[in-house]
Amino acid sequence: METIVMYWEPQIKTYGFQVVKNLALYQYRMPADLPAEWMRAIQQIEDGPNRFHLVYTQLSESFEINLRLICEPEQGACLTRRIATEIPAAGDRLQVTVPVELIFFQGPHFGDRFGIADFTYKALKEKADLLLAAVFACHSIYLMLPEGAADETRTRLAAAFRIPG
Amino acid sequence: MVSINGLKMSEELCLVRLRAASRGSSLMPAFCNLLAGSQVNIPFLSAEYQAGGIQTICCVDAAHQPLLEKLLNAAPMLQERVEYTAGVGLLTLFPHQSRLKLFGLSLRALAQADLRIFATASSVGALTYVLDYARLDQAAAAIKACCKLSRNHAPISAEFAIAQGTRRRPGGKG
Repeated sequence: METIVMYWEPQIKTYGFQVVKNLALYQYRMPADLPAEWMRAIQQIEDGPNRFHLVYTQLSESFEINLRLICEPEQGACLTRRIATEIPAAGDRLQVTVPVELIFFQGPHFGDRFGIADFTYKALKEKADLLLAAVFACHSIYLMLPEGAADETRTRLAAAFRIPG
Repeated sequence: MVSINGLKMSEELCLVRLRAASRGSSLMPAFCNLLAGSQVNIPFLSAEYQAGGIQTICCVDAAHQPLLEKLLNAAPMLQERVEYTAGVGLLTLFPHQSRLKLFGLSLRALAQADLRIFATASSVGALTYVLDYARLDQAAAAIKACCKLSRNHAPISAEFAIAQGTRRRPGGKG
């Protein structure tokens, strides 16, 4: 059975942009098979009221899991201390970038239709060169930027997307 | 155990890796424009910009792989920087409520089940893993074993395919 659904949108719509500043980016390189000490280290981050703003991983060519955690700086510092109790040498696999900024937004069917990423990059124009990361998952888009770049990025995006109301 | 309201499994996808040696390149805009021009949806994309260049992982419908190969082979800037991995799928847990506990538990559960994790990303409400498509059921079982799924909820599988197209609205401006 085939069902045809029409969705009309003269200008791509978002429910609004959110900006969070003064965040910390923690980058860990972990062995992809997650040996026991890394399992214990991950268990450490499960304890306590730790919150993230964005988390993503990529499996690298060298068969490592590159973990990226964007959170409040004090929470990240606490986590690295906990991980170091399990893996004293984990610091060799850690890179911290402070501060970073996040801009994120969502819209109807963003993950289900073509052209959303293209539209976003076109809206950013040359500002795309400032990106530290771009993550498109489900109906959300997260852009990670260096300090001082989020406000102008939001202005550009707001000029391209339609925000109802 | 942490509580979640649901688990969703995608249809079969193809993973595409793109690399660029320079972070200032126009690789990503060109790539996204190419896919949009052929009406290819990107249900998952993470692009990382480092001093050493750009590392991107994205997923497209498995049926789009031949079209994508054809398009990228015709784009000199892109063709030498791309790799394909067929047979992946997305497992999405929701809501994450920004809890690192859920991320840690789910990551360990999948690793303990010996599942290869190609990529992960959080969104506003959900946490998505890119895994082997053939093992999504096993992945869902591993998550169910460590998370408390809401009563009367079972993992949701994609049961229909969506084909997209563009038409101008009759009489409309759009």
